[in-house]
Amino acid sequence: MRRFARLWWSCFVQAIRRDLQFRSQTIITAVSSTTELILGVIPVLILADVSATAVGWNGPLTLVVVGLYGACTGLMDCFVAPNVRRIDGYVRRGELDLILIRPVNAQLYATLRWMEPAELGRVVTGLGLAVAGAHAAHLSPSPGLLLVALLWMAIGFVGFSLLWANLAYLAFWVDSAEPVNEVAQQLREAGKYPLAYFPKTVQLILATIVPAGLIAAVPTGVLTGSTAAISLAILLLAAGFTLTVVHWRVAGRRYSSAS
Amino acid sequence: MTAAPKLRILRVLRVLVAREISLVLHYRWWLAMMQLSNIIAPAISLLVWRGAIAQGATPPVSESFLTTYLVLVSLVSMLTSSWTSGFLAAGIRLGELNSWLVRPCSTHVNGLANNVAEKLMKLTLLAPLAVALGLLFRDKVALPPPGLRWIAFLVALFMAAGMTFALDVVIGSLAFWFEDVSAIDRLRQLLARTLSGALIPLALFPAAFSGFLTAQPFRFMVSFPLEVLLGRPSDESYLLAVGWFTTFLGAAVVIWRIGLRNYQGAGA
Amino acid sequence: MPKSGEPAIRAEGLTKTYRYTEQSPGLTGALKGVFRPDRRERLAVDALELTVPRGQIIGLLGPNGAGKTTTIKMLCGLLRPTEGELEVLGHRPSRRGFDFLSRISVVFGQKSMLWWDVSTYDSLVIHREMYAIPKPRFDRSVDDLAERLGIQDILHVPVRKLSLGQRMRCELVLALLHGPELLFADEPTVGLDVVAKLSVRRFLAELNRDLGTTIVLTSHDMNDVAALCERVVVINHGVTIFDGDLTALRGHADAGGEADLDQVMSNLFTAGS
Repeated sequence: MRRFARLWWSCFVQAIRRDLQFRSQTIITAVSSTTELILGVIPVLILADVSATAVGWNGPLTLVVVGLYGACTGLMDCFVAPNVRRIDGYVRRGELDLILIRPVNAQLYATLRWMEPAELGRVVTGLGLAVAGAHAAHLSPSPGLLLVALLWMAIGFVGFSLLWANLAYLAFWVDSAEPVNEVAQQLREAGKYPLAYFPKTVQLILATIVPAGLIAAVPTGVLTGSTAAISLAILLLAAGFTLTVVHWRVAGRRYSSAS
Repeated sequence: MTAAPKLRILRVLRVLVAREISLVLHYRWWLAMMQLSNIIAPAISLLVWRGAIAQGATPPVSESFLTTYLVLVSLVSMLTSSWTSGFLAAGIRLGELNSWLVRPCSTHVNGLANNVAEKLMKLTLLAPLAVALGLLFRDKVALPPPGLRWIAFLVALFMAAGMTFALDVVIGSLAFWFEDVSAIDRLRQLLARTLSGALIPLALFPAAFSGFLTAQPFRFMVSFPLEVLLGRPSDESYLLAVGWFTTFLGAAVVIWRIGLRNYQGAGA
Repeated sequence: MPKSGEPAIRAEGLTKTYRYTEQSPGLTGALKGVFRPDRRERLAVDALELTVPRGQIIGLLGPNGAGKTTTIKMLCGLLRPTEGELEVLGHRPSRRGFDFLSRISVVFGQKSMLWWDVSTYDSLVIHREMYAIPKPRFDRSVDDLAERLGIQDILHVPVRKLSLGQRMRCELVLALLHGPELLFADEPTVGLDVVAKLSVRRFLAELNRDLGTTIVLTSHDMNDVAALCERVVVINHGVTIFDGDLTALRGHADAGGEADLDQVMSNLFTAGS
């Protein structure tokens, strides 16, 4: 594990060096990533403006949700997305061979090899939005509450990444799986709305199979004092994790037999 | 040259579209997945807005307008989209444009054929998804009866597609002067997504912005055809639509011509 | 129709200057380039004089960056000359009119004109519409060209599945389908094996002999040039440094009659600079 951490760190350093080398490209990525977040706020704020009182969410709290969503997805797009987006190419062009021959856990390596540090700009902007929203909503949570909210965000982060990985592994089974990445990204967008807007069945889905709701909506709810069953979530996460490992193993066997 | 040249171009367009369709057929699953991702955003919007209305919110548009709009918007934005700029820019940069310039047929006929074929293919894949979405919310979907409204809608749709294609040609042509146009294209996509009404109807935006929103060109790329079908756009709107359409088309022609004059024929 | 006595190509004082902006490294450099661009000029072709009579096979030679490609591009209408007079088949090439474009053709050795994912025949059908070729003439041309190049059985195979040699022969069929009077062949044999190379050479010679097609050939393979070209024009640094036949070329380069042609060319290029 120590060895892997050192490997991961060297990958991260390499990614930063690469970004520094192609500075204009990096700045463009950072700017458009942040712009995307800010423009993405607009429909949510319009919705909140029209309906907040009816649903029990006000504008500032909605801003907290969008901000946390931006920060968490920024992290995901820096550390996870560049890798899952490559899975399809690995399989189709046989580049997986180059990963399988390394003396490290191939699945972990294939999930964390590539990074896009420029996306981290969104983390800063997102956190800024969230803090501003919390301030406007007169929200001053205790450190304990903050920690629980953070834990929920982490569950959302890992949970959604697992879903995305499983979708990306479809590349082992079908030929043109590349657009599943778009599907995953669009599904994730549901996470920037407070769950209260969705019908009950959809809320359940967004908290379990498609855990986009855990990225920001549930953590914000926790900050305002509502409670959620965290042990159940961790149990589900463990199940999802096992499933993903099994999926990789089975799919990998198929890959080696195919080539 | 006595044979009607327009007719020749149309015949070329026909064979090119036929060839493109046979190519696009190879990617049908890829395109089908793509359409699935295209329907998710309006579906999410539908869910949250209907949820808000169910809980007592009162948006400035009727529920049936909102629902019908969001059911149809994925189809309209797909039909009026264009993906030519990237190909065009690459062609200019890598010199593939040369292969077209030495033939008696504009490279844009090829771009057009590619767009038409892709639209036909996507339509067959996306339409069932949109119908399914419509059935899910059928209680509030209200389409006008067949008639003039639909014809006006089709005209507006055609103009919207023409405008987007022209803007795409403009952005692609910038490759005559700039190495990399992808950043400009990304910025355009971001603006278009917010300002065209592809996410939510422009009428939902705060009233303070309505003057700007009604006048800006992106409105006429997605929102306007739907407004023609489902609402009552003002007379000035129609004038604006024609004005922007002509402006974009003219800009595309002019910029392409100037660019071609500057062209240094990259590559061998 | 121009009179047949008129030359296929007539260039007087043909000049092309490239304008470009120098960009300093880094982001600040890029920004500075936007506001205060550092504009420079480079003379690629300098007052070139060239007359090619109809029915000739002419070799246009020169080292990389000599202005040879720029010249060809002006001749076929891809580039607009900065100065000078240029008439090809009685037309101004850069206007790129239908009448001009349907009487010339270009074969790029390094760039495919065929559509990659479909068969050669499908590409031919597209060209039939593009050049408005009547069906009977189309059928006749395809049969004739396919037979001459021996590709009847690969006409319906997707292009991406063809070998380079097969593909090049298909490129030629496509380029000659509309019966051009003037063919620009830009390195048509690059990368081909000996068999394919000989077949392309033989075909070009036949084309010139049987149909009187004027051919402008560029090639780095001196054997191509020796086998095909009755006349050779050598360009270096944007100006013509030699115009004549191969025997004269050997004389000009102070090489004996037996000297290797690559050696002859090398002498010529280095002597001038």
